[in-house]
Amino acid sequence: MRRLLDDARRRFLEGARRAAAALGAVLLFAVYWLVLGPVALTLRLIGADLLGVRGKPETAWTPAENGDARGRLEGAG
Amino acid sequence: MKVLGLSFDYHDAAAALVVDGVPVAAAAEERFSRLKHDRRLPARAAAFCLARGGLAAGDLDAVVFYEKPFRKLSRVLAGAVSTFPSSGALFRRAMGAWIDERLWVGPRIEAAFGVPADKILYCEHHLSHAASAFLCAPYDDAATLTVDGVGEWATAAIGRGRRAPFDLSLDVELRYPHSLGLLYSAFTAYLGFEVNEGEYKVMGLAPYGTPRFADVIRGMIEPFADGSFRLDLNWFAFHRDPARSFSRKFEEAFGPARAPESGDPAGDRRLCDVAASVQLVCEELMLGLAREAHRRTGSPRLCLAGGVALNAVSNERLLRETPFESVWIQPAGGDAGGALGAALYAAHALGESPARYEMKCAALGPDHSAASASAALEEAGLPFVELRGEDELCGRVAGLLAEGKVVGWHQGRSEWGPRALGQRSILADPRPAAMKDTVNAKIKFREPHRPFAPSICAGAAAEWFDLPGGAASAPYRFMLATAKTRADRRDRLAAVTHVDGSSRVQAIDPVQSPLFHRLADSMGRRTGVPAVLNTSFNLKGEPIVETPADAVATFLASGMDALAVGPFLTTGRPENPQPRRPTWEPSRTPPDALGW
Repeated sequence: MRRLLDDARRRFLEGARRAAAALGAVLLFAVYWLVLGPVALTLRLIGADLLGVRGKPETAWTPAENGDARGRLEGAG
Repeated sequence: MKVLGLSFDYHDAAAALVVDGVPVAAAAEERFSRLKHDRRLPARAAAFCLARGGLAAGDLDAVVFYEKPFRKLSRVLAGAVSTFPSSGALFRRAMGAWIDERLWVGPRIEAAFGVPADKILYCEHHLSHAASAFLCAPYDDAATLTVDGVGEWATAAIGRGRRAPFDLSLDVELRYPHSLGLLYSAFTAYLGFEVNEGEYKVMGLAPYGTPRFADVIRGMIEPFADGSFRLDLNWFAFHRDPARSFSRKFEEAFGPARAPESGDPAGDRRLCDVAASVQLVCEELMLGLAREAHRRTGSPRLCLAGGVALNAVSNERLLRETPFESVWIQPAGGDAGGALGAALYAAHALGESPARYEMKCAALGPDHSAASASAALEEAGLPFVELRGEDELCGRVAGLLAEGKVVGWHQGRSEWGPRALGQRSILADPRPAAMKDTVNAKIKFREPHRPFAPSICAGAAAEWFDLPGGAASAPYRFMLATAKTRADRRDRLAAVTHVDGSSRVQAIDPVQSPLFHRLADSMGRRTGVPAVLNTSFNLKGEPIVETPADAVATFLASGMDALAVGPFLTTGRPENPQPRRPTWEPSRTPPDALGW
């Protein structure tokens, strides 16, 4: 009986994992087209250059942000 | 102050423990998990570090992650937005990984170590690299240069460090997607090697070719007078494709990419020429970056870190052709080194008066008792003898090497970083040219073009090699730069001199590595050449061995003739040896190799 229950649980979890992966893919697909798409088009309309690939700059160096040593360690972003 | 540094989630997860400014222990997770480039949270490496320091996780004052994950996420999203609609696959795969793991770095550290959230800190990726070099170097002040694939946004950074009062800051940075590391990785993938693993194979392949494609590669790059550059993204795909780093245009220019399983590339002139070309351009770009670091800082000293800092050929040119008088390079230049750098930075930023530390020896990993060594040999059924003292050990092993035998060498604490420096090494006679083919084919089961490195007594190194900066130069202590074998000695170092006359030399310091130095010295007395052929104690595709049991397993799976583990030496084999492992494994690009 226990073996049957374990087997059923394993199959349920496998199925749930597959369903979650499929659902995740559908959601990410939707986010990509419905959220990122409009953002990307808007940014393109206003001429944003997030990757620094356009224009004729004199250098590719960007000044680094430096705070105090302790402060630099705070926060994940 | 007790700080644990961690790097994980991309490649080469590692942990490092720093107590009052001094690294007590540092190790990569792959050494424990036996999974090459293991990227998972380094629970085993951290457990080793804590045990080595006699600490529990609750004793830590801080746990520092080696980069800022949310800043990195902003770059991934910016990349996906900028390349819409061709970045769909990248977005789905990257977000899957982020939602699964990468967004939760803090909570995962809390769960793994039981430390409260307020003790978890985050050090920027390139600041971690810079700290890993500057705070291990013997300098009061120095310029720092860090160059890799990509961290959060930065792909390279110039900064400066000062010991007292402590200050380590980054002046300027190059930003994604303009990356020397990703440029080199694109060619690594094109040449059929695994990204983040095969870059040094490209470096080793380069001397077989001529750089006839250098101008094509220079055409992919928009250089500026100050050493900075931008990449022409028409040549690349890493910014929009989760698994491919070069575009169709790439193959139109250089010919079809090499399939990973298509044998030794050294036989294909075109591929060798591509490797030679990208290596040359990489060196030119590194020289430009280093010269700019000198111009900006005015310092005669340079600290170098990041994955590109492991390019030994480029490092030799930095030593020879830049105005820096002294260069110090972190032996764990890749992301593993970020764990140590993050911990050192926090120890100096937060600690009251951290001790001054100089990394003279990279043996920061675990050591293993004689009892565990004998147990491993007994369990495998190997006959062995216990040697009395280091003289007998070195004499016996040198004798075997001089007879043409290949010996596994497992001694002391394991090395920090990807190079075997005499703690976990496979050793052979450096004199006969045929030894290179023997070790490649029968011992390590790897590509025949791959060169081997010599480890030589530091006192004799300058007689045998033309070493810029001399044998005491730190890059040579850690096998981080090449040097030309002197022309009149090449026939006596034939197994460790590459086709272009270069060698990736380790100059063995008698104070820091006394046992290994004694072994090379014993070789010198027997053969007249105070050196050994030294390659990492692993087989192709595997991490370097850690425990005596790992060493015995690798010994049994390879064609080595003898194994020295601690004081024990075995030259025997069990009656029923295990089957040899396959000699060729197809390369594959790991799913997170391109920085997302």
